[in-house]
Amino acid sequence: MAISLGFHIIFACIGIAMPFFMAVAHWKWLRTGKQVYLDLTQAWLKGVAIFFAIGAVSGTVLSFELGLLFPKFMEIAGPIIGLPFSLEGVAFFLEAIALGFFLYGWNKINRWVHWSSGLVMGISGAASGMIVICANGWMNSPTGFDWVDGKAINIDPYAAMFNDAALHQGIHMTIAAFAATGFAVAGIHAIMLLKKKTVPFHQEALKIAMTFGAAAALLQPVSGDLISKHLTQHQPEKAAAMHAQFKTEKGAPLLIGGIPMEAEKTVKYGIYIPKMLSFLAHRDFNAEVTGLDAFPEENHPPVAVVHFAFQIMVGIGTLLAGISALFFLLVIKKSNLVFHPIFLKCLALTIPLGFIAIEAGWIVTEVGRQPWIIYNVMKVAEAVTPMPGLIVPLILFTGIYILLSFIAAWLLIRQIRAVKT
Amino acid sequence: MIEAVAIFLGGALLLYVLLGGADYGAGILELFVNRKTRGQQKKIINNAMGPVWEVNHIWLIIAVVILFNAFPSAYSQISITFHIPLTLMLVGIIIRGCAFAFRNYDAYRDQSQKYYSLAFEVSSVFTPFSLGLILGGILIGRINPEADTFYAGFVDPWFNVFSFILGMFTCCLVTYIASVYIIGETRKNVLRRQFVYRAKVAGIVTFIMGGFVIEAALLYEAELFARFYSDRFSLACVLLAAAIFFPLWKLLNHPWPILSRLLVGSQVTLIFLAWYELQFPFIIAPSDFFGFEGLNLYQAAAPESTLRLLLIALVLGTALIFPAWLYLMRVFKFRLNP
Ligand code: HDD
Ligand code: HEM
Ligand code: HEM
Repeated sequence: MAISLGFHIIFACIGIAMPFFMAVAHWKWLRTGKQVYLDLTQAWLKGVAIFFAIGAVSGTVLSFELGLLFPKFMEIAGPIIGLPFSLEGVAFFLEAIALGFFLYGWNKINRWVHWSSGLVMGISGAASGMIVICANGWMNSPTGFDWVDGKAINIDPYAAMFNDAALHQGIHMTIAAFAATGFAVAGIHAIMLLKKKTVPFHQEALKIAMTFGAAAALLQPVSGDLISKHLTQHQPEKAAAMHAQFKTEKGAPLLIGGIPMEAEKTVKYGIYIPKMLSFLAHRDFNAEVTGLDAFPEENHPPVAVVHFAFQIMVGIGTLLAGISALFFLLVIKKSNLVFHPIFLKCLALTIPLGFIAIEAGWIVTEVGRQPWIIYNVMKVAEAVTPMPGLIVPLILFTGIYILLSFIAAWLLIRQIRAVKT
Repeated sequence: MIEAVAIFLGGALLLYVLLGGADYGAGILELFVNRKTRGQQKKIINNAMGPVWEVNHIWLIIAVVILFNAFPSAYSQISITFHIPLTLMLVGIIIRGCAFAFRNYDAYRDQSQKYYSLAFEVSSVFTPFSLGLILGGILIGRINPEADTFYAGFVDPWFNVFSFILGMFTCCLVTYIASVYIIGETRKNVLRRQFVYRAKVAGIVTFIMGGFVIEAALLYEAELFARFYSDRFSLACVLLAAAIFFPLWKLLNHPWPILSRLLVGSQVTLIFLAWYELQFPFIIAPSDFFGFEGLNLYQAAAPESTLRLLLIALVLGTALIFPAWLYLMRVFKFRLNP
């Protein structure tokens, strides 16, 4: 399940962000009639078509896998959070229809209708992302039902969908899609520029991708801070695990790095910024921060995993935000500076970072919720299928996904090589 | 309310078998192509499926979503009992979708095309077959609530002659749909004649296979089928579906492909109606033999508030999707390729 999701999410993010990049390039072509923009749109489109197909099939797998692995969870959750999933179905439909038009509609339909079909693709992609996060937010912040004797009654799917984790998470996720895809695409074109191939083509591509990526990366820490504050109130165990805060204290310091020792409840080799955590969580340097000691031991999430993942996400977030600030500064000063080899090399190095941050972020969210599958309602152990031998499908799907990742990467390289002019 | 949701569920499944099925069938057809026209045929199939394959497959997702939303305990039971064939089907879906995209959008045309096509064709057989296994298991309800071995709990419900026959029938049915559908995709006479011949063979094989399904069901004393000969509606549907073969035979090579397509579509719809009539109100069939009482719509249904919202979402979604979908079909499907 986690493997499928981790795989799906990469393709989903590309599916959210790329249509918008293409829409810009395509719009510029329609406006200026310059060949580069058309080439760019079509080159991106060919790559995206492959990624879309993988995104779609891995998503189909997920909608079954939820039941295959967690039938008891779905039995309860289905009626409560089925609503976002059905709306998601509608969004997929629109997206797939728009994709059909966009891929095959060249010279067949009105050019502006054609252009909007690309945009519709992006909008419905972003909508499906937001909507599925509503379902995930519900697992973190379950509302819209009463839990009586192991049964859900008084179900209100509407309230469940608009739970109070959904909006924060959805925004953070959507921004992440743009940041990660933007940097990855910009990085690929930066490599091509370093090789001095077809300069205007790659320059334009880099500018479009980087503008989206950089704007998103600058917003990301703000949105991340909002989530953190939300967690402090609604899922304090997760917040404590993120910061490896074992004990409740006033004026808590912010931990950077370090290795949490879960048995001894201490952290080795950490760097502390005094009072900073209290400030971040409560906007008050002396506020009390709840630590893990406030909760029974059996409800602690795995601290080390959550802490490492959180550090990786925030570290990458800070780095990308820094590069983005530099990018805008360079553009304002003199736009050719962004094509300076040193900056290009920086961008080339950032290609995988956004996606690593996304995976890390999901580990924070999901592992940080353990041992619960529905926070404070149902534990993972109660939800798992009685079917034995689950290791077999795990190995099977992992193998398939690894194979597909390699093929997708190989196809992408072929696409890039095929760019002419 | 429950029935209305069930109609949407049945409709989504029917559309999946019709449209998604045509896709699978096209893949199976590739296996029966003579060498000379292979290249041309592949091109026709790629052109026919390209703009719509993604849309066709979303019907399955819609069906699954309705199932877990509105009938959660049925979804849960099916997921547990049919874990293995479901997993096989998913593997098939992954391989097929990816192979199709790879062979269509790969930047170069070289040796690798051979492997994509192989993967595409094999998984085109494998996936509808697994779907048939699952449907077969649901239909005869060999679910043993007191199963205490792995085999009785997770294998036997679908690993039996009836399920295998239904799996084969599903493959035949989709091949038949595709073989009729594909005729309209070309104007070349030589090819068309080959296609018409193939459609006829597929029709006959499917018909015979359908007879086997009914026989096997009676042999297994499947409860649902016990009513078959006494249920006028089902019987009439099946007979009508068979009767449609006659006009269809004449119209296969007609210049308006829409006619023959509509006729196959109604044949499949009739078969499904017959099935639904027998199945109602069960989602998973009961079985005397195992003492399994089955699971009917009313027991499995989610609470009223959920169903109401789901229904609203479905109606609104349909209103939003259908115009766009019809426009897509109009642009790409009501025009002939040269
Ligand atoms: C490009 C990717 C990316 C970047 C740079 C960041 N994040 Fe993030 N983060 C995600 C991508 C992400 C994510 C993968 O999209 C998550 C997982 C769940 C979610 O909704 O978003 C997430 C979750 C997530 C959570 C857990 C949410 C929950 O459990 O409800 C927190 C507290 C933060 N983030 C905080 C931050 C902070 C303070 C950042 C500072 C720079 C940051 N993130 C950068
Ligand atoms: C890309 C996004 C996601 C990733 C990478 C991811 C990954 C994970 C991980 C690592 C776990 C914890 C496994 C463990 O510690 O045992 C988990 C648990 C879970 N996640 Fe996600 N998740 C993602 C999004 C979602 C979404 C959107 C949903 C539902 C709508 C979901 C449903 C679940 C469920 C039901 C569990 C509990 C079962 C378990 O612990 O294995 N996840 N996920
Ligand atoms: C972690 C959060 C998730 C996000 C942000 C997300 C987003 C998306 C997006 C944007 C797409 C369309 C893009 C593409 O086809 O490449 C997509 C496809 C899909 N997703 Fe997800 N998804 C997530 C998790 C899930 C989960 C948990 C499920 C199932 C329960 C799921 C089911 C699907 C399905 C069925 C499709 C295929 C739709 C099609 O055929 O076009 N997704 N997802």
